[in-house]
Amino acid sequence: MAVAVTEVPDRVPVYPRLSPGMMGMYIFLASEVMFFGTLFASYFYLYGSHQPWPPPGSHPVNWWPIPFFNSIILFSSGATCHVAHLGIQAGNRRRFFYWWVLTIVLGIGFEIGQAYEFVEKLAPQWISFLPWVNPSDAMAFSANPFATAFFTMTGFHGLHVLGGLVILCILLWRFSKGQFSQRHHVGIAAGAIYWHFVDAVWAFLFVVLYLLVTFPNGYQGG
Amino acid sequence: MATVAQPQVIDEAYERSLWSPITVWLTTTDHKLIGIMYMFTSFLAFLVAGIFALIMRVQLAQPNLNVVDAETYNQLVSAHGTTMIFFFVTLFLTGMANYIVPIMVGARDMAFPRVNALGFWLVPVSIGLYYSGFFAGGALNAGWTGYPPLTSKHFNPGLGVDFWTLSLIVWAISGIMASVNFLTTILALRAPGMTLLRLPLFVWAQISTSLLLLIVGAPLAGAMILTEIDRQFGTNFFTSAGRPVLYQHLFWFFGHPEVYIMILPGFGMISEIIPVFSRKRIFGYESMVLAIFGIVFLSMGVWAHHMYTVGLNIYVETMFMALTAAIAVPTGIKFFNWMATAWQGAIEFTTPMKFAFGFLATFVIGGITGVYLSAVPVDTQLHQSYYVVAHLHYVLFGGSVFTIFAGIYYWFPKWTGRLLNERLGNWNFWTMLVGFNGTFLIMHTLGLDGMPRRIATYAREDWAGVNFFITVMSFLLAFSVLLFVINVLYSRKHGVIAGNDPWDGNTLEWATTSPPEPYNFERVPEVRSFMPLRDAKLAAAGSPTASDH
Ligand code: HEM
Ligand SMILES: [Cu+2]
Repeated sequence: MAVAVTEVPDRVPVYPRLSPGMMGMYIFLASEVMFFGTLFASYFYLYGSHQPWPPPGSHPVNWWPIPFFNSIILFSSGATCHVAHLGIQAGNRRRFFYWWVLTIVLGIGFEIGQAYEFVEKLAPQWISFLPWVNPSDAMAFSANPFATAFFTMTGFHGLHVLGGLVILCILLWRFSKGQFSQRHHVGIAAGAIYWHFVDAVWAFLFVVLYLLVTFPNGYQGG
Repeated sequence: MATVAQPQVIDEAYERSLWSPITVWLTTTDHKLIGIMYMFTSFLAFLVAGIFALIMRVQLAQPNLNVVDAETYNQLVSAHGTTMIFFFVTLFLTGMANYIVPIMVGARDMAFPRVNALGFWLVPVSIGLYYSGFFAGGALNAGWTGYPPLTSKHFNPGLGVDFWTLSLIVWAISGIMASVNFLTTILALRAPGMTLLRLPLFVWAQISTSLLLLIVGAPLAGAMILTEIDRQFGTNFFTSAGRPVLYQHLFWFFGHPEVYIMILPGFGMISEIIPVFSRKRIFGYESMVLAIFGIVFLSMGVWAHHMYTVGLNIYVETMFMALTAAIAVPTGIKFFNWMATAWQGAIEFTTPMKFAFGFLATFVIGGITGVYLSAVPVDTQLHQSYYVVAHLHYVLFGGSVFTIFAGIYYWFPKWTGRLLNERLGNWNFWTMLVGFNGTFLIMHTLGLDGMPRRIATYAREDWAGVNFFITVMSFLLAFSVLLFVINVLYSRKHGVIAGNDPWDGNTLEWATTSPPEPYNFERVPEVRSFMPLRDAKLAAAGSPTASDH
């Protein structure tokens, strides 16, 4: 039945121009922020209750070289992702395609770097044929609270990057099916936002787990 | 009661779909059918957890009984708490909102119908995971809060703890999905003219609930994940090498807001029901909205009141004490607004209204004992005693569950096209009110006398009489639930035909058919106030619209 129609409403509200899809993604990211917030809070809680930090007996991680280059790779992938998004906004399908594929390649590069980091610490014997690998540099997952938090946090970030890569690939597949256009590409916009979020989390991880651990007393120069 | 007895054409195809091949249920993305599935599933959980409670009460009826052994008792007490909190109250409220909120805001469905279906189907997965524990050598036995080291591999090698953590991770994911969906639906799909300050208060309550679950769902999943990592890899988050108390911080950062996740939708329902049956406008609409958000913000800063005895810094405890007591202020505002709404109204004591008043009477007791417990010195005495059991049941049963029953009696006609039987409803209400208070009021004194909670048995003979009385009363409470089940089964077939608007309601769900068509509204309604249907009725009667929001 027709309902509740009285007359033209006096104050017609202006609705947000954000599409529901984008709105849903932003709201969802709030819970992702809380998830990583939980991990960071746990880290700082353990940090605050264990002196010295990292606890003795662990081989502290180093920001150089792989984490550093991995940061550059991941942040560039954020930029390429943005360029691709601008591409589809401008109706340039070719530009979207190339930059999006480049984003995926960079993302895979980051994951390979992380996998190497994990193997080097958790199972150096697997790659002991590499001349620079020193098996005594191993750090077990259960060695101490730092190691536990370190692998958990970087591990969950790595899983999120993996999830992001799956999303990027699905979007690429949908793009190849012609499901996106200059005007209709909420999926791509939402996927890009997710990818930027994963980048941003890495910035915090890099500072907290690598830089602050490598330079506990600040950078001394030299 | 303004029951319209004229026969009502319920859409044939849709009615058939309710009883139709299972494939319809398995594949539906209609928010109404999903809402019904949420309610059905979680009500079954309520019955199961209720039976566990009765077994526990039989065990406690006299000192030194051995109806079940201590290990079984621990599993029952854990399953009772987990099931009631996670699988019944929270999910039943999600189901009610799933059905009602989109209609109240004038939408045709949720913003993401398939996500909605997925979120629901994770529920049986979550419940199934938890209950698998019973068939895998014993379910969780560490209480619903699952503190380490009780849950550490060393002290608890069985699979029950693992099934519990997995279950709650799935539960949190499902809840986050529902929250994203509710918030997007309410923000993006409102009918023309429905500004934020024209949202019905039930919808505001759902915004606040979803916001809370969105924020604290991930920390719960985080606490479970870290517990599980510790168990599987021998790592050091919550071990003595790490910090066991860290778990309590994470858990209660979720746990306290969770109690508001379970009560705020109920507050919303009471804010709908009292004005309708008092035939008055809600008193202080804006202050109601402000109070809801006062509660939301405060509720995230009070979690350590569950941890006063773990040895926190005294200044930290003082801060948590002050913030906890402060929650009584916005809650009090809501209380006085409800009373002012009913004051001098033309009150109709229908069953929903009886439950609403029952809620006011019992919840206030729980609120006051809560303020007692917020005081550090008092809580140091009462923590882990039956006083806490009394408090939490006054707020959760006398609060949340009473609002759920009020809401069911109120909206059942919308869901099924038929009213619940008022006579049975009356018996249901009075047996529940007496059974509930009989069971839990006297627990306060048991707690003051020092009876600890979560114990399988006790030796003190002088507690026997009171405990026996409690057990008898708990069966009266169970009887009231039985009356309710009978009422539903009977009225589903034989109840009075409801018509679109049996209660002379204010909000949009009463402007469409009972049950609504799959698309909810033939024409998306336009809205001029937070009581759009009332406006339409007044306009049709020729008087100017009364509300001016
Ligand atoms: C004015 C409002 C409230 C205050 C000040 C308050 C305060 C407290 C405090 C201090 C405790 C800890 C007692 C202890 O373990 O020693 C507690 C426990 C509890 N409260 Fe409340 N509360 C309030 C409202 C609520 C509401 C609305 C609910 C649920 C709908 C609720 C549910 C619970 C539960 C379930 C527990 C027990 C947790 C456990 O198993 O240890 N409370 N409350
Ligand atoms: Cu609390």
